[in-house]
This record gives sequence, C-alpha cells and structure tokens, in this order.
Amino acid sequence: MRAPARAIAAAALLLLSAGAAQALEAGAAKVEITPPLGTPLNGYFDRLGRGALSVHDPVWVRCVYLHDGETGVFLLTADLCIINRELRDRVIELAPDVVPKENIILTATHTHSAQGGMVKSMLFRSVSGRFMPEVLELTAQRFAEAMQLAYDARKRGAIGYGVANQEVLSRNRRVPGGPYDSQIGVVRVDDSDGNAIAILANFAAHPTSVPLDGPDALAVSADYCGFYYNAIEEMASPGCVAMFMNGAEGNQTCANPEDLSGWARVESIGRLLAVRVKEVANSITCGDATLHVGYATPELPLTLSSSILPSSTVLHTLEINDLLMTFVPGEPCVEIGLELRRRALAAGYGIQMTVGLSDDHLMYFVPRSLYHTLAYESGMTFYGPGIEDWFYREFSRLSTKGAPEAERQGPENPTVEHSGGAARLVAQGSPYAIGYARGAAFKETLRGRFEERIVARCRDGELIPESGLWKAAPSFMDLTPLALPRLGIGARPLLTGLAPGPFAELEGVADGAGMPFDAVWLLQCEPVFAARGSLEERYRSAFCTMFAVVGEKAGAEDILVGRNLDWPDEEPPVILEARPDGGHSFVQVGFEWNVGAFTGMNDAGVTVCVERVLGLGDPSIECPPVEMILRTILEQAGTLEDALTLLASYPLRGYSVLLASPEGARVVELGRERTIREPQDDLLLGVVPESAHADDEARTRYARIGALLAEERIVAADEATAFLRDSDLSAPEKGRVYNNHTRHSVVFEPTARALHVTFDAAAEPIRVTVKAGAGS
Amino acid sequence: MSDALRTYAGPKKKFSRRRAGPVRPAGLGRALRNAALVMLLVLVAYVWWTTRDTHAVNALIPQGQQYALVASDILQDRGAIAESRVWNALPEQFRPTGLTAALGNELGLPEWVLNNLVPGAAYAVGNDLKSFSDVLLVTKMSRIGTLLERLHVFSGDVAADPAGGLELRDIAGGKAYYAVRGRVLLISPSREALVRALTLRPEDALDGEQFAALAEQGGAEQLRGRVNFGPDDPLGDVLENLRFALRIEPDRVQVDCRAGLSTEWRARCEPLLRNLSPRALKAPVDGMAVAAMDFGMPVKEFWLGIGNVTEWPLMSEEQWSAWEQPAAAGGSPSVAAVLTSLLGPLGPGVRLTWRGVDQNEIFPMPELVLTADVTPERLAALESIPPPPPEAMPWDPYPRYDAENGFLHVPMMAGPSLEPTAFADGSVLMLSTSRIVAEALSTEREADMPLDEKGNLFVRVYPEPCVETLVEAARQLVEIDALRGHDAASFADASSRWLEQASAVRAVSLLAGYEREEVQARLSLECAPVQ
Repeated sequence: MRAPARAIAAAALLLLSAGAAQALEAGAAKVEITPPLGTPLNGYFDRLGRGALSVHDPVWVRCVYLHDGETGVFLLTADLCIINRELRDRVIELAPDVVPKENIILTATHTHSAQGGMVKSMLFRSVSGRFMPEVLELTAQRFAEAMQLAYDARKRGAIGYGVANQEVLSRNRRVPGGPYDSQIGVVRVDDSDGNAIAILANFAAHPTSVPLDGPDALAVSADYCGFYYNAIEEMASPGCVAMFMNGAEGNQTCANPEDLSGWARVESIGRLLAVRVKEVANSITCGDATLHVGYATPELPLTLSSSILPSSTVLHTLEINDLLMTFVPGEPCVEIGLELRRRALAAGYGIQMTVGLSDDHLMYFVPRSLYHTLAYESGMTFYGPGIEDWFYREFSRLSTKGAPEAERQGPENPTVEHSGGAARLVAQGSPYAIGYARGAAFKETLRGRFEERIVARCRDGELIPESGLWKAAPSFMDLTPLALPRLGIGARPLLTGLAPGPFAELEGVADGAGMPFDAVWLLQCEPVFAARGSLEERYRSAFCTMFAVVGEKAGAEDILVGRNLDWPDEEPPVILEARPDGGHSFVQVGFEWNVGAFTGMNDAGVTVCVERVLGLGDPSIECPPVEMILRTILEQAGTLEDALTLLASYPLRGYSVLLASPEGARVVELGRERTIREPQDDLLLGVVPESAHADDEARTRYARIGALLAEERIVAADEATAFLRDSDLSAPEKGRVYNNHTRHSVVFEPTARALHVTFDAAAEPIRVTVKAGAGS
Repeated sequence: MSDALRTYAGPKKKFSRRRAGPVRPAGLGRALRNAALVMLLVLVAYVWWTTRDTHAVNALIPQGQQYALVASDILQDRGAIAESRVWNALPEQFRPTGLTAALGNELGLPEWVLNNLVPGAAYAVGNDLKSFSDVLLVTKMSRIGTLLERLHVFSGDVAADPAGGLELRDIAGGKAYYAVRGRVLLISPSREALVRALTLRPEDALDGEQFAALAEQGGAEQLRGRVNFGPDDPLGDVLENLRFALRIEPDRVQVDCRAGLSTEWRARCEPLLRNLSPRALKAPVDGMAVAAMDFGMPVKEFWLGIGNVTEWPLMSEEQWSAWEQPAAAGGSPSVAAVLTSLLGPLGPGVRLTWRGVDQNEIFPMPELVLTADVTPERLAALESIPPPPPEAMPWDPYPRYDAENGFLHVPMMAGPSLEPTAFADGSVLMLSTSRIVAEALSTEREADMPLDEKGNLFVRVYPEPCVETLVEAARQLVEIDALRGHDAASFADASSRWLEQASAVRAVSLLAGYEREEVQARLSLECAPVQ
C-alpha cells in the first residue's frame, strides 16, 4: 500500500517540477548604441582610426532573456565589429544580478561600421581607433540597460527553432565556389499569445557590404543587418525584436543575388535574408523548453603572439532542447563551423548553430587544411593549426550530448638511450605521438635553438625587415613581439603539400616541447630561409658526400649507400626509430630539433640522403623543406619508384637527393631542370665531379671518394665506412670527405635494412636495423 | 697658556688655608711667575712673528691659467651647500658626491687646517680642463690656523716634503700637496703645479689689477670663474671663453654665464646672431615643457639658421623649397606647402609648448602648441586657403578653413590628436598638433604676458609631469613586451626610480640671450617643495 502511494507522490512531484522547469519566461529589448560622431569605426585598417562623420542607420544592442525555471540566460547581439575584453568585462560588471554572470552571452554582428575606440591595447588601436573610455562606458551601460529592459519585459513565453537553406546570399570570399554555409538558423521566441517577442537569425557572412568608395565610408551603420532588422520588425508583430547572430563567417561574405551596388546591395541582402528568416519563423511551432548553458574559460593553445593575445578565453554553448548554439570567440572559417555542426548532429542534436564573434575576439581561426595559405584569414590565425581540434574538444566538453573528446596525448616520459655519442629515441604510434616523444625528449634543445636562432636574432634586429613601418619604428621599440608572429606566418606556405603524417608529427613536437606550432615550424624552415637570404654565408658550409654502389661492386649486399652529413653547427645527434601507425617504420639520423630527414631508411629499404648544391639554385619556398619531404618519403614509399614519384610531386630546387632501395639507386638533381642519374659502372655519386653545378670543393671531395671507390672491386660496409672517414689533408677543408663539419657518417644496407652509423671517426659504427612497423 | 694663568691667579689667603706643611717662600713664587710671563711674551711674539701676513695671495697665483675659479666663502657656506636638496635633484650619475662629501669635510685635509682657513675667498686655477689634475687652490688661513699648521708633525696624514727648501707637505701619500707662505695656503694634487706657484717670478703672477678683477664679487654667488678654452678642450670647439657665477641655495641652484663663441661657431651661427640683442619675450602657453624665442627673424630664417648650425638635411634650404612646392594647377596645396607657407613668415616671437601626450590616440601622440606673432596680412591669409578639390573626401588631408570657428585644420589619420589645427587670436597665431588642444585654447587661453627679463630664448621644463607622461607612454609598449631592454618587472623598477628622481625637481629653466658678441644665459633648477 505504501509503495504505490510513494510512487504516485514521486510522480506528482516530478510532474510538478517538470512543469516548473518548463515554465519558460522570456523578454526582449533593444537599446540604441549609436556613438557620438567622431568616434572611430572599427573594422578596417585602411580607415586609419578616423572618426565617424555621419550616421547612415543607427546601431543597436538587442537582448533576449530566457528562463526555464532553472536556468536563466541573457543573450545579447550588438551591432559591433567585435566583443572585446574591455567591453565584456564592463558589461558583466554592470549586468543586472538576475542571472549568473556566466550565463550572459555577448555576440557582435561584425558590422565594420560601428564604434571602435573600446580597445585599450595600443597594437589593436590601429584598427579600432583611439581608445575612448567614455564610449566604452556608454556602450556597456546600454548593454546593461538592454538586459534590464528585457528582464523587465519578461512574460510567459514559448520558443521554437528551425533552419532554412540558402544558396545565393553568401559565398566563400577566398575560393570561388569554395565551401559556404547554406544554413540559416532561426530561433523564434513568442509570448503566451503567440506573438513573436524576438526572432533570432544565424547566418554566416561578413557585414562588409557598406560602400567604402564615398563619404559613407565613415558613416555609422549596422550594414545589411540593419536592413534585416527593419524588414523583420515590419513583418513581425509589434514589439518583436529582430536579432542577428553571425556564423562561422571567417571566409564567408555576402553574395549579390540582385546584382546591385552601393547601399542598394546592402539593403537587398538584409531584405532577402529577412524574407527567408520570416518564412522559417512562420513555420516554427513554439513550445516550452529546457535550457542549458555551457561555460568555460579554458587555456588556449600556445601562440607566438603571447605578448599580444591572451592565453585563455571564454567559451559558451547554449542548448535549447535539441538545439545547440556554439559561441566562438572570434572568426572561425566555415570549414570549422560545418565540422562543429557535423559533430553536433552526430552527437544527437537536432540543429546546431555556430555563432562567431562571441564574448571575445581572438582573430581568425582557419582549419588545418588552410593553415599553409597566405590568405588574410590564415595570416590572422595565431593559435596554430590545431585550433580547430581545440574548439571541437572544448565544445564537446560543454555539451550535454555526446562524449567529451579527449585531448591528444603523447608519451609523457619517452625513453632516450645514449650510445655511440648520440641520443637514440624509439617512438611509435601515431605521427603525433612520435612527434610528441621527440618534443618531450628534446624540449630543452628545441626551445634553446628557437631562442638562439629566431628570438635572439629578432631582438638584435637581424630578422626585422628594413622597410616600411618596420623601419620607421623608433629604436627604443623592440619589434620582436610583432616580428615573431609575422615570421611564423611567413613560414606557413612551406607547409604546402606537407603530408598529414609529418604535419601531425610537427604538432606533436610542438606540444611535447611546450612550444607554439609556428615556433617549431620556423625552426625547421630556418635553414631554407637562411640559404636564400642574408644568412647564406652561415649555411654555405652545409655540404655533404653521398654515394651508392650497386651490382657486383656491392658484393653480397647488392646495393650499398654511404653518406657523410656535413653541417655548419654542432648539434646534439639523434637516431630516431619511428614506427608510425599506418606508415613504414623508419630510422632517421639527424638532430634533436629537426623533424625532417636528411639521412634515413625505412623498413622497405627505401633510403634517403640529401645534399645542398649551391649551383642548383636557392631552395624553394613553395613547398616544405627538402628534409620534410624526405621524411614523408620514408613514411610512405615502399619502393624506389614510389620515392621518385613522391619527390617529383614537389617543386623542390637547390638540392641533390640520393634515393635508393633494394631495387636500385638514383640521384635526383633538383635544379631549374630535374636530372635523374643512374649508377655508372656500378657507382653513383651524389655530385658528379665534372658537373657544372659543383663548386671546386665538391669536385675535390667527389673526385676523391670516386677514386677510392673505383679502386675497390667489391665494396662492403666496412670499406664504405673507411672511405667516409677519409681525410686527405692535402685537400682544402671542405674538399675532404671527412672534415670538421662532418656530423654523421652512415652506410646503408637497404637489402638488410641495416645502417652503420658513426658520429665520431674514431668510434665503432653503431649498427641499427629497421624493424617493420604495424603499418608496413 | 690661559689655564696656567688661571691656576696661579687664586687669592693667597685661600691658598695658605688649604695647604698644610711648609709655606713656599714668597720670592720663589714671584720669580716663577715672572719667568712664566716672560715665556708667554716670547711665545706671543713668536706666534705673532711666525703668523704674520708676509705674502700676497696674487703673488702665488700664476697668470694666464686656462681657468680661474673663486669661491666666495665656501667654508662658511659649505655645510649649507652640502646639504642643499639640489644635489638629490640631479640624476644619480651626475651627482657630485665627491664634492658634497668634501664640503662635508671629507677633503682629506686635516680637520684643524680646514677649520682655520680664513673664512673668505678661495681661488682655484689650472690648465687641465679634462681632469683638473693641475688645479691649484689658494686661500688664506687665520693666524691660529697658520700656527696650528706648524704642528703638522702631529698629524699622521701629513708628511714633510722638503722639495729643495720649498717645504711642501704631502697629504695622504701623494694624493695632494700643500704649502704655506705667510698665511697663504696653497694646495694642489700636482706637486709640479704647487712648486711652480711657489717659485713664481713677480711678472708671472697675477698683478693687483688682475687679482682685483678675479676677486670681484658679482652678486650673491658662491662660486664664480672664467674659463678660456683651447681647441682641444671639452667644449673648446664651440666656446672661446666662459664666465660664470653659481649660487646654491637649500632648494635652488642658479648659474649665470657669459660665453664667447669660437670663431668657427660664430661663423656657423652668424645667420642667427646677426644684429641680435636680447628682446622682450612673451610667456608661452602653459605646459610641461615650454620655450619662447625671438631671434629677430621669421620662422623660416630661424629654421634655416638652425639648419646652418646643425647641418641637418631636414633644416636645409633645399628641403624647405621642396615643402613649399605650390599646388598643381587647379589642385589644392599639400599639407607641407600649407604648413611652410603658414609657419615660414611667422615671428619673430615664437613660443612652443609641450602640453602632454594623448595616451589614448592610436599611438601615444605628443600634444604640441606653437604660438607666434603674426601680421594681420598673414592672419588674413588663413582664410584664403583654397578649398579642397570637389572630389576630395572629408578625411583627405587637405587644409581646410572652418569659417564658423575660425579654425584652419588638416585632417590626417586617426583621431583629433593627429589633426593639426590653427586659429588666430589677436596678433597671435596658435597652432596645435591636436584639435582638442586647439579648441580648449581658443576658449581658455589668457593673453600673452611678457617675461620678466629680456632674452632670445627661454626654456622651462617641469620634469615630474614630463617623466610621468613618458613613463605612461612607455608602459603601453611594455604591455606588449615591445620596449627594448625592459620587461614588466624591470620597467616597474626603473620607472619608479625615474619618477622619484623627477619628483625632486620642480622646474629647470634657462633664459639666454646674445649681446655684444657674447651668449648670456641663466640656468636655474628649483627643487620640489618638501612634502
């Protein structure tokens, strides 16, 4: 008897509480925030911080208040370019104390024609204009007023949402026909009588349609959003507040479906958007809702702009039943928005809307696939190529559906053995894990080299351009904080064509070493830049010796490859045995900081060596550094043919590359024209002594090693090692096979998958065999 | 001696009552007393004889020395000088800690010598203007001081240096030497200079007239002097000679100078100095640093004159001509052309003021004001600036005349602190780099007041607000790690030191003029009031 009674009571309580939770209260309000004339307009550097001269249309902050009985939230959208920290902080201070501060979500429409003047940092004032504390205060007060008005106007409400497709209103501004977001998201908030209190639209396109070629370039305007508001509010019931939330608009812009110009075009976009939104709104059935606000202030990935940009930010999600709204603190490119949506839908949400420009402004976010481009969006992305994963992971943690994503992990304490004068690291797993192991194992070297080769030279002015604004800067300014990010961005095009494996490995190195990705990449690219620029002298001494003997001359081995790597700097040597998932295992002989492979062999016996040949021209910057490509070959090539094909797919120049496998050996001379040489009389030299590309020292070196090899009928590993140690004292320093710059000597036995490595001419070679990995 | 007199001066009756035993015969006491009296007289005679003033000071000062300094009453003032707050107002590296320590009696001289120098003038002469290694100090001691000096044997710091009969004294193992002739004390770090002074032939020493000129007190100064510069001396390429008078007070220091320019610099400055004499200067607009100048010529001539002195290409005739390029037919003149045509004829009276820095402009922007005398014709020209071409945007950098407010302004970039604005105020033209400042001055400014004294150049700097302003601007660079040589912590340390240093000084001012082929200048430093 008592059990059923308890069950009935519990059920009644549940129903009552459920009823209370779903008794949605809603209110909306808008307050004008049009600034005084003379206030700088934010968005375009070209305006040079000039003040507004007129008002084309007013700008507003619009607010909707929602409370489901348990969770209350203020969602504000403002006709501003960005929500900067000073504004957010002040708004939070002034906000009415009716919802938790964490439940206040601020977004900007991104109009480029509303007030700036609210950013204090001198660096950003070049775009946002002079700092005007009074404008900041006035704007923040209007935000607070809008919240109070929306709260005061609260009434029993209902809510619904839907989406529509569009194909003509927006486009990819960087790639013709490139990806764009066809979704228009709509949220409708009604009162209990079914009258719309607010209609929120989510649409991804830059509000940069205001004509800039006339006096209205300095006019205040909400851009197309202003026309959208007017059209919606005309069509909807009186008192309805039209709101606009921009989407993943990083590379999205307005199209021009009616082929208009000037303000007519601006009006056209706003009107057409409103029509589409109203269609959706009319089809939405509103009802009760359960709200969930996700809030976090996570640490951001490391950046080279650490003295300019913050190390943490604000993230919000807002769930209304099965609608997930994801608020991004900056300008994500559409690829990131679409991926966020795909993941949300896969996790069980019915609709997902990405809202950019929310709560903070960390500039742009491009996906990894666009990181190498020199487009504006990539050049304004400062938190590394992994930022998209960071968003996916952090938002998954804030969402109630789906499993939170785990952080990428690498081995915390990789084991490094020391033998034969070199560190020996065995790393396996994903390329990321392999890179992480290297980064963690050699973090001191990596950080030290970066400080020494990049940061210190920036501080000395060596890496600061001597032109333009750089030159105009007064001498008391240290331009390093500005130069480092620019150098990092300048190196990104060298990522073009880099295979996913090495790319992931680089990301792993950066994370393992606790360095920004751009810092690790700059370090990898420094020799290329140095060889092309004023640092040529420093790297001029990067010369090598390499050869292959095949056929009968190689005796039982069929093929033998020898090489000395000559390198200008003393570097801690490393033998890395990598066993990447999904690729060939390989052994790479090199340096702690260098992810690429100057010298290596994989478990298919594919062997790579490279030598810089000045006569073949400057190294290319249209593709990754040669050693990164050789690293890709080691991971991917199963045959000599594969290796040659892969090498041919990159516009490399300035090197001679020796590729070998049990099937044979080739030297590819990467000059203005490519030449592939095969062995002659069972012998193949990295550089032909008679070659026009070779300098005198290379001729001496190769003539000597050629003569030594020619004297022997059969060359075995021991002889090859001895030849590599030859130091003809009558030759000039750089003309000696083994010289003061020789950092390692390696003899490869591709058939046996074995390497004989020495770092010291007096030491016994270390024999290393390449063990087959899971992916081989 | 006086103790002995008192001891034997008691009444006989008392004496006899106190003492028991046999009474000394009265004859013996009298004899002793007489002997003592004789000894005393001999001693007095000896003192009188040995401390008589036998040498004239001028006879021991060589003629033709490159510099000669006179300290009026340095011993009497030395405590006050040493304790003056002006020393703390100087940057640490410029504080003459050695001098102030010396004035606080750490000269290395025996205290008794120092205490008994005649409280009068002291003279310093020499030829080495780089290290003052041959400076010769000459002064007079009191009779007692002279006597006490003879007791030098009791001082461990002083050793006798016979010097072939010149009887020098060696202080602290050769750090300095001194000698006494009559009541005249001569001290020098150079034994050679001291020996030379002691062996001067009369014709090589200052004569009475020269000495009187040297000794003449000009005012309330504590130190005065003259320097004749050789071409290799510091400042020798610029100056031929310099006379100065220095007055140090508890919270103020003032130097009055007269300097003759070298032949080369007279030639270089000729365009500026031709027919120049001190003129009535007007006070500049208030600011952290101000300057008023009147060289009797318009701005253009003054600019080029400075260019002639400094040889800066920016101040050359060629550069000015380039700026002056007239507008193309139908076009508007360039900003540079407007500024040169506007500023060139201004003057002769020109004032400059640094009001501060707009820290909020897109980059920290100094706020400068130029005020200049101007003829009515030039003022009228303000209004006749041609309008911008019709296609010009409102923000294009054409000079524009705002008839309603009477402002001539040039929109540049950024906000109002980068908008040069000029307006006329009576017979004065005011030009500011900032529209905000110009607007404020157009309503707030008081009439130009004349300065108290005539001159050609007046400069006054209030260091504390200057440093505060610069620190605030630098802090913005520190926030983005872009101030060379400083991070946040080191800047906080350094800036607090700078601010503390600057807060010790209320103002530094200079009034200079050119008259009778001499530059006359008065430089003063005022300490901030004690909080």
